[in-house]
Amino acid sequence: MRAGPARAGSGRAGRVMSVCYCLAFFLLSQVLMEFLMPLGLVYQHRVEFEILKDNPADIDCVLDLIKRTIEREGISEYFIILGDSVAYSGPGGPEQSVSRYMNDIARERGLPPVFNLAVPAAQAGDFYTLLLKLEEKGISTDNVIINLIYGGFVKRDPRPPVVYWFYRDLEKLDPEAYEAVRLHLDQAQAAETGEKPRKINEQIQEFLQYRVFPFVPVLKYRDFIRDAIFRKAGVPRTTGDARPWYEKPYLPGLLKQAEYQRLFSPEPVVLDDSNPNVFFLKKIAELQRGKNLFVFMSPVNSELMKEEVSRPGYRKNLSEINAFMDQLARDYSFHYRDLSDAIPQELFSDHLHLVSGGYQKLAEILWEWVETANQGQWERRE
Amino acid sequence: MGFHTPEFFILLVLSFAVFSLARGKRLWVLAAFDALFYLYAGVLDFSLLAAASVISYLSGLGMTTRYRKVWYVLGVALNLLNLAFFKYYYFVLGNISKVLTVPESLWALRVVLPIGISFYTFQLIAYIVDVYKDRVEPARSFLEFWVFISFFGQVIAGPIMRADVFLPQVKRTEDYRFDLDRTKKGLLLLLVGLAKKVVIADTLAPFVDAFFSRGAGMSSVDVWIAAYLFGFQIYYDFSAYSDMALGVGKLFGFELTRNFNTPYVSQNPQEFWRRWHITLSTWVRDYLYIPMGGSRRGYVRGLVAVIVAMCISGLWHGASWTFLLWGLYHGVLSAVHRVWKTLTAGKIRSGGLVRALNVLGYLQLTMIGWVFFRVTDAKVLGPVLKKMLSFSDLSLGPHFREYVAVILVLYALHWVEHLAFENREQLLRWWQERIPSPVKGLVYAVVILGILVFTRPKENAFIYFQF
Repeated sequence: MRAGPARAGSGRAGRVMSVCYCLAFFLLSQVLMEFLMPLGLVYQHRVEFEILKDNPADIDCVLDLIKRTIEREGISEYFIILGDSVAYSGPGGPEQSVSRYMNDIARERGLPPVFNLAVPAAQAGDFYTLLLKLEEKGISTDNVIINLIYGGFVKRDPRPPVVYWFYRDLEKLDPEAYEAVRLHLDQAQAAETGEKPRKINEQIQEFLQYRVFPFVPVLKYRDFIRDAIFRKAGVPRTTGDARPWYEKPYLPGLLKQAEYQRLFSPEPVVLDDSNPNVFFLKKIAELQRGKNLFVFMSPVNSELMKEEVSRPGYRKNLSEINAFMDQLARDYSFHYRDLSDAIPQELFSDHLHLVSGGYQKLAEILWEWVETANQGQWERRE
Repeated sequence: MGFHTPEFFILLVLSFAVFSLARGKRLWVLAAFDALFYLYAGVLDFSLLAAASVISYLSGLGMTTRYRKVWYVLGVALNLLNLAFFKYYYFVLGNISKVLTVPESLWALRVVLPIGISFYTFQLIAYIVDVYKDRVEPARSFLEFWVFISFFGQVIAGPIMRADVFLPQVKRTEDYRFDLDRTKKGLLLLLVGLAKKVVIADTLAPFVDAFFSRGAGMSSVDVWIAAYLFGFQIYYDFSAYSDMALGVGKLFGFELTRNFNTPYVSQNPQEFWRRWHITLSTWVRDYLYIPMGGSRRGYVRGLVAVIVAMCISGLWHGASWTFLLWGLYHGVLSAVHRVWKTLTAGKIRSGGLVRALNVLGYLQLTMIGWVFFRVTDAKVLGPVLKKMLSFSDLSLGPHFREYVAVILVLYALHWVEHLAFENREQLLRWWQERIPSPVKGLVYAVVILGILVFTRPKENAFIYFQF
């Protein structure tokens, strides 16, 4: 390669100019990213769990872009769905999620759209924290649907922590509530990691993640940008086994494991503030008082889990939980329904999760419930 | 502390700033930051490095007295013992336990491998041997010796520096003058290394893990894909670290020895080891192969020396039978190549086509070798290799085409790197003189954005940190 005669400005001035241009392009890219980032990059009918599980701080990207979409499209009324893997609609893909079907119905019947912020393994403390975050971001929490599971009320060993994903946000947004459950969270963390103190690099990473990266768009959105590049390049992604439960011969054996059995524990449940789940449900009820809150107990595959759900302890606990939730709903004026038996067994994918048709059915049930409760509130859109 | 982590860049910027300002105290500054960098790995790891450094330093000085041989043997033996204990304790214990059918728990200690021990031990041994053989003067100043052995640009994963190359540079630390050209080259190397690590190596890692986690369940085609992907992952990972080490060195005025020179363009084992982990290969040649007699004590003995030296080199990577077998495999390849060269001397023309076939052929042999290296369980190695070489299961897994395309792109990239390095001076001049500033600025911005996008929140340690 022949270098040829040098161009003017290739000396010191040229170097300075290159750095200036680099800075200018970088800053321009950041401005463009912040204003042009599409919602579809971070949210497709639901959050991107494969990304969020490695970096829960990424929920801020989702919330920011939902907020912008709401403002740009002038959406005045909408529903927020909070919950765990049931509302998230695992193990199928986003196109088979309850929120996708709810939005299909909403479009047909002129109902408000829904945004699904459910995250697998999320607990009551996460729902509460997300409500605080939504308020902080200026996203309305006037219409909220939350899914609960029986397993959320049973004794923790101390896992799972009652704030599984968003404990750093809870610490910031409601330090009092965080302090109230801190011992439990520390114990759960110690059980998970073997009581290892956090390393300095983990602390630095966390500091950067929560205090620095949110202000630099490329760092804020990078997990989603990288994922989009991989998707575009055809890099394969892991997907769950979305077949119906009766086509999975391994399921009965798998569900005998302690972590699944705990979800149907017949041990007596404690339904006072010493139960961290109850503590946060009361906080949610208090926070949502006077708003349109719908809480439902998730459907259960009573055929697959016949042995577990027919235990007297389980039946008694479920009845007590329902009585407790009914009372809480009356005290704080929200809507509660037990949907344990609402879905036909053939529409389950496993013990709790549904196949595509199951989530479609759940979407219909939820809208019917919401429409009945809000008779005439929404004018049908043409 | 990985070179691709925020904490490293904080330390780098801080150390460079203080180093630049502390005229007259630069060696002290560097020594302090070296200590800080290694202390990050743990106090015990640091104490061990400090102790090994003190012993080797005293050994060097001791060799100027009449107990020269005693200090020499003591220095080498203590360093070897240190490495043997920390690196091979479990391996030896496990194998003895198997032979004697005694449970390991009866005599097991909790031994954690100190980071970089294999690298600094080899550097220390080379120093002691070189002093003993009068190739270098022993270091008089412990401060200089400490920086020589613990320079944070290379202490964890090399390059394994020789005293005759690096100590004189350390001695001239106070003469450091800021040189824009050298600093720019250093930054470029840091950037290239970072890009190799976060964009390529870390992206390949989960796919390689997924393939190898299936062990003998992989089809023949899968094993080949997995071997290729790992071959590129380990190259882009280790050469990334080495590029960054060179870059860090340049920032502080040091010229560290290059460790990689696009090894997958090699035609034969001899060339491969001149291009792959160069400072280890030359260490093995100078401190193992030649002392064993090299090629001076007969043809057959020379072949045996090559095989033994490569086996030791394999074991240096890790205390496992698979690493020993990897070394043996490359030793046998080297020996066979020598025999072949002897038999065909002057009989085969070395045209372009022959060279291309050699490169392609040797690339396959190298990739077969990576299966030894990557498989963690020796019991799985046989079945996996059988699948690979027998082509007994030719079923194409999902995304076969995508994987092949990725491999081809990676190999093309390897050649681009090779050609770019061969023509680096012209390229740099062309870049500096002919490319307009806006284009340069755009390219810099895209590279920075790319690196920021591909850096993962959960860092993947450099593969060679475990050695």
